[in-house]
Parts: sequence; structure tokens; C-alpha cells
Amino acid sequence: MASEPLYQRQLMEYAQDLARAYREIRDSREDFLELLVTLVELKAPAVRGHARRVAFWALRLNEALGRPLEPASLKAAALAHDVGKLGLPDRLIAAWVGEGEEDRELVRAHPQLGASLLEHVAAFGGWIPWVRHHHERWDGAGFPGGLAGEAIPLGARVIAVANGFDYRMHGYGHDPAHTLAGTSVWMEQRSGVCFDPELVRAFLGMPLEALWANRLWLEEVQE
Amino acid sequence: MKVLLIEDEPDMVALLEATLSPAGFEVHAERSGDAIETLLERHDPQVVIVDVMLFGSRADGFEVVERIRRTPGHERTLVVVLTALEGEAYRRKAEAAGADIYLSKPFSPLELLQRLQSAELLTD
Repeated sequence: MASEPLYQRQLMEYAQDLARAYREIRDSREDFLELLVTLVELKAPAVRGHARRVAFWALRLNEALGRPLEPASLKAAALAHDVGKLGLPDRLIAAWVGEGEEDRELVRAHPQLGASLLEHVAAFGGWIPWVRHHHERWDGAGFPGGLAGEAIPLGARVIAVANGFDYRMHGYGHDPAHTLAGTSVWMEQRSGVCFDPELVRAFLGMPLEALWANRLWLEEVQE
Repeated sequence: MKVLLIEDEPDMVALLEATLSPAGFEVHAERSGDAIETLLERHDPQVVIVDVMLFGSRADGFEVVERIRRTPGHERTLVVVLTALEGEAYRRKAEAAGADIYLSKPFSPLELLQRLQSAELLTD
């Protein structure tokens, strides 16, 4: 039989290797997401920072809700939510819905395209539907599935709120940036229409002014 | 890729099988290298992993490695030496006997896997 101390030392090597392998998987997954985000931003400098800010607001909202979603998965989905825009003509990447039927169809394809791209990576798991459905609306008028209410995955509803907030605050397409007060009113008007009303309530209940003023998303997005 | 494992410690055999089998290696474990020529003929391995401290065997691991190298058809078989012995002298002895890879226990299973996989790429 193996001498105990040697066997135990060997088991420790296995444990350390396992931990190292897990760390490497996590790091390479994050590096890959960063690469995808950077590619989108290179194609459309107007959206620079958008994905990281959406990740920031989505994680904050998740905390305000009592953390119903696994933070690492939510961060990944939020960072990756627009990778499907890599398949759009550059002029449409910063657009919310596009102009003209043809452009609108292209823009409406990006969540599905993004999800299909991400499905090629086996390490990306259960959060891909959150990417696919982040443009669904609470009233069922969104895309690509036309899902309504709680049929929309919670992760997708959280990202939708964070996404809407960020686009409104920073401006998108031909729309200028809005004030926090104006954005809050805009979100309230869309509560129960575009967005899950409970999520809007939780979101607007956060100390938005302080969070906004501190620009914390410029730091590492905390999980 | 077939691996012949010459190891007399059941715990170590279990760990090595758990490391190598999921990675796609076909592991045949034997407790002694006394009949190494017969084992090579029976299993025709591409890799032989030998523990040099084989209690209860007449042949120690260094001798087993030399005999592998003298067996026709196995002059270039990848030979990994595992040992609880530390020291440069043992490493040199293993290399002189014809070993390709020398790992002292406790060894990193990831390193063992990576080195076997690199060797597999080279022989493909």
C-alpha cells in the first residue's frame, strides 16, 4: 500500500491541480468574453463601455432583488448580450431598433445570432437564453420569441432593464443622453409594458444617483 | 493511446487511472515489471509508466526501463519514470536507463497529462 504521507501529498497535488484547472477555465472564459466585447466596440466605438455598464447595473439589480441569479452567469450574459451585433452592418450596431423594415429585421436578429454564436462554446451554460431574450417585452411585443411576462427568463428581464437604462442615460442612435430623472420617468412609463414592473420598482429603488455619480462600472465589475 | 502502468501501490494505480482514462488513454495496470517483455507483447503500449520502487519485484524500475529499451519495437516507446526518490542522481540514472520523462512523487497530474498529450501530438 502507499505510505500515507506520500499518498496524502499526492492527493494534495491532485486537489491543487484541480483548483488550477478550474481557475484557468474561469479565466479563459472571461478573457474570451472580454475579447467579444472588445470586438463589438471596435466595430462601433459609439457603444464603448455599454456592455460593461449593463453588466454593472444588472449585477446591482440582482443584488437589490436578493440575488436570485448566479452573479457570474449574469455578468457573463450581460457582457455578451450584444455579441450578435458583430453580424450587423457597422452603422446599425449602435442603433436601438434601426430605421426601415430591412434594417429593423437585421437589428431584431442580433439576440438570436448572439445566442447561436455563444452556443459554440461548451463552457457557456444556462445563461445563453438570457442573451437570446434580452429584447423581449413584458407585454409580448418584443423579439425574437414574442415571449410575455414571466415566460421571459428572469436573467433576460434583468438585462433588459439594465440595457434600457444604459441606452437612455448614454443616448443611442439619434437619441441624446437623458438625465437620471428623465430616464427614471421613461422607465416608469414602460414598467409593465416593456419591462417587468417588479424589476423596475427594485431598480428605481436603488441609490441610482450615488451609483451613477461614482461611475463604479469603470472599476472591475464586481460579482 | 495505450498506457502500460507498472505500479505496485493500489492507491497510486487508482489515482493514475482516474487521471488518464477520462483523457482517453487506455490504461493497463500491472503490479510487477518482472515479465516486462511479455507485458509489452501482450499490450503493445505506446506509453509505459514505471514506478522505480517496486517492492516485491525482483526487477527495480530502472532495470525495467533498460529492458523496455532492449525490446525490439519499443526502442522509441515513451517511458515515464515515477519515483518517490528525490535527487539529481536518480534523474540521471533514469535517463541513462532510457526514460523520456522523470517525475518524482508527489507529481502534478496535470503536468503528466500535458506531457503525454504533447507526446501524442508528436506521434500522430
